[in-house]
Amino acid sequence: MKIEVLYPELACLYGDPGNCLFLRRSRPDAQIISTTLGTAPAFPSGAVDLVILGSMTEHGQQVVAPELARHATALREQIERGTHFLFTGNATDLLGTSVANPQLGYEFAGLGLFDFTVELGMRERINSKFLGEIDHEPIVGFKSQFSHVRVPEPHKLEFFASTIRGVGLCAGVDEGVRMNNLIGTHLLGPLLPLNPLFTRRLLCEIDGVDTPVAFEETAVGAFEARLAELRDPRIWGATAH
Amino acid sequence: MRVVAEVLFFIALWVSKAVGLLLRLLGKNATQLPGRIAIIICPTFLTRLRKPAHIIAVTGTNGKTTTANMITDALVLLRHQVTSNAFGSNLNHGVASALLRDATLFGAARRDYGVFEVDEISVGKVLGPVHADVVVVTNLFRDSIYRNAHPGYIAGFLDAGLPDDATLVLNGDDILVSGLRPSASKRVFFSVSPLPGEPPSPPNLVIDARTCPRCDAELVFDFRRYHHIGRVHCPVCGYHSPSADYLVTDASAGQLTLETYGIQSRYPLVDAGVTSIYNEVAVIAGLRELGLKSEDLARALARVHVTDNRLEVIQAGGKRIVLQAAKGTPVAASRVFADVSAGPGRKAVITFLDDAHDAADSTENITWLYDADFELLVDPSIAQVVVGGKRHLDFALRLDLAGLPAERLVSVLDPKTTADLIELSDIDTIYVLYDLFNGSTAHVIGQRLKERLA
Repeated sequence: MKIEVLYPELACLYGDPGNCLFLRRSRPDAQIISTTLGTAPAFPSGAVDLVILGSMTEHGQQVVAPELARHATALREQIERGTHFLFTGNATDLLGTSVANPQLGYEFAGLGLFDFTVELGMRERINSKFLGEIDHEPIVGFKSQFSHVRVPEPHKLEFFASTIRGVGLCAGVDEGVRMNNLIGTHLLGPLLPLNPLFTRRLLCEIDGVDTPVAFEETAVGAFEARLAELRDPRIWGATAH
Repeated sequence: MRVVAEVLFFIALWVSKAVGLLLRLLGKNATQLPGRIAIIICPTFLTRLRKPAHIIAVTGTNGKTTTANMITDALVLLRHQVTSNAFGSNLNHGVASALLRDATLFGAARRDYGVFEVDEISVGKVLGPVHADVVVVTNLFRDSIYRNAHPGYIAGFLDAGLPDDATLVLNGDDILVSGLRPSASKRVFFSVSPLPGEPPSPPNLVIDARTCPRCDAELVFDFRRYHHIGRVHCPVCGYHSPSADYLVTDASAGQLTLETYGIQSRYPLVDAGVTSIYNEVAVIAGLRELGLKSEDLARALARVHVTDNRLEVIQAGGKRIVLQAAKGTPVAASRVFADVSAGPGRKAVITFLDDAHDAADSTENITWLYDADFELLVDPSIAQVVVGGKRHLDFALRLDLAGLPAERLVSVLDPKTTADLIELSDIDTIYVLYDLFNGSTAHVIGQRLKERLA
C-alpha cells in the first residue's frame, strides 16, 4: 500500500498526524510518502492508494489552497478512478467553493469539489463531541474549528456520516462529505485510532485484506468506552455539544 | 457625563473594596470577585484607577507564573513596594482585584511597582487600560485545543493587544514571539546560546514554526533546543531569528553569564534547568529594561528561590518517588516526559493525566495525546509504565503506537491501584505524573508507594 501525506509541515495540527501513525502501525509494509510544499505530489501518477491531508492553521489554508489548486485536475481524475482521499479537520474546508475570513478580511477559492462555502469565525470557535453512524456502524470524534460551513438548499451533497449527537457539517445536516472514495470530515480525534473498526474497513476497502488493525483489542476497548460515554445523554448537558 | 462616570468609579471602588474586605474576613482569597464587581459597576474602572509608577507585565504560554513571581520577589528583596496578581486570576478581573486591594480609598496607588501575569488572550483587555512600561513574552506553544486553538491564533491576540509604547521583551529563540508587534517603539530580545551537553534537535512531534513568516518557505533550524525553540533562518528570503540583546552565553557552576549590548555580566544561577534559564534571563531583561541596575539585580537573584508546587520528591526505602504535575497539553507534557527520560538511573512511571473535569461529567477530547512525545517514555531506562484513569486505554494505545513493548506497559481504570502494579525491584525512581487537578490522588499513590518501600 502506498500512502501519501500532503504538506505535513503545515497540516499537522490537533493530533491529526496520529492518523498516519495508526496506518503505519496497522500496515507496516505500507510505503509512506511525505510531500512538502513546493514539491510535486505523487498521487497524480495514479500510483497512490490513500492520500491524507490534515488540520492546519488558517494561514496554512491560504498556503495549501493554491498549491492544491495546481493539481485540481489530477485530483478530480483520481477521485473518479477511485483513489482514496482522507481530508480531516479544516482541510475539509478546501474541498468547498470558497473560504472567507471576514474578521481578518480575506477570501480564497476552494477546490470546488463540493457545493458548500466556509466562513471562518475567529471569535466563534465550534467545540463539540460527536457521535454518528456510517452504514449503521457508530463513529465517534471531536470537533474544534473556526470553520462555519454553509450548505445551500437544495443540495446534492453525499455526507460522510449521519449525525446522532453533536454538530454535523453545519446545523441540521449530517457530518462531512463523500465523493467516491474521497472523505472530508471535520472530525478530530484523531479519526482513525479513535475508530479502529472504521479504519479496519477502510484499509480492507483499499487493499482487500481484512486483518486486525494495530493493537486492535486496546483500540476497540478505548472506542467502546468512549461510545458508551457518548451514548449517555448526561454528558451532553443542555446543548447538543 | 464625566461627573456620572466619576461617581460610578468611586461607587465601584468602595463596593469592591468592601467585598474584598468581607471575603478576606471570611478567609477567602478575594483575587477575582472584587475586580469583577468593580468592572461591572464601572466598565472603565481599570482605566480610571491610578496605577503604580512602574508596571511590568508577563505573558506567554509557559513560564509566565514563575517569571512574574521571580520579578516580584526580586523587587521586594530590593525593598520596593509591589502590587501583583500572584495569588489570583491573570484576567482583567484579577489585575483589577490586585490593584484595588492596594489602592487608597480615593483610588491612588499605594505601591510603586506593579507586576502582572496576563493571560495571552486577555493582553489587549488588560494592557489597554493598564499601561505597562515593560511587557515580557516568554514563549508560545500549543495549549488547550478548545480555548487556544494553535499558537498562531494566540500570536494574533498578542500582536493586536501588545502596546506600541511599552518596551517589549521578547523571546528571541521563539520565532512565533520574536515577530510580534513590529510597530512597538522598542523591542528587545533574549536568547540562550547552545549549552554544553544539549542534545541537537530532539525528536519532538510538534514543531510549530516550520515555515517562514515572511515567504512561507521551509525554515532551516541552525539550532533547535526543543519543539520550535531555537535559531532559524529562511534559505529563500533571508528572514532569521533576531540578534539577542540579552544573550546567555554560559550557565554553569552556579553562575549565569549574560552578554548585554556587548557587555558581559554575571548573575547567580537560580536553577540550572534550561526552562529555568529562560525564565531567569526574561526576569533580568525585563527588570533591566524597567531601569534596575545589573548589580542590584544580581544581589536580589542570589536570594530568589523558585518553589515548584508541581513537583514533590519523596525518599523511601532508598528510592525516589517524584510526584509531578504534567499539564495535559502537548508541549507541557512532552517537557515532563523529556525530563523523566533524561533522569538518572532505572525508572518506572505512573501516569494518570485524564482531565479531571471531563472525567467527572464528559468525555475528554484526547487529540493532544497524538501531539505529545510519548515516544520519550519508550526510553530503555524506563522499565515500566503504568497508566490509570478513565482514559487509560487511550493512553495505552498511544504508548503502544509509540513503540513501548507490551511487557513494559500496564493499564488500569482505577488510578489509585497503579501503585500496587509497579515492579519495584531494580528501580531507582518512580515518577507519578498527574493532571493539575488530580493532586490528591497523586498523594494517595505516593503514600502507597512509600508504604510498599518501607
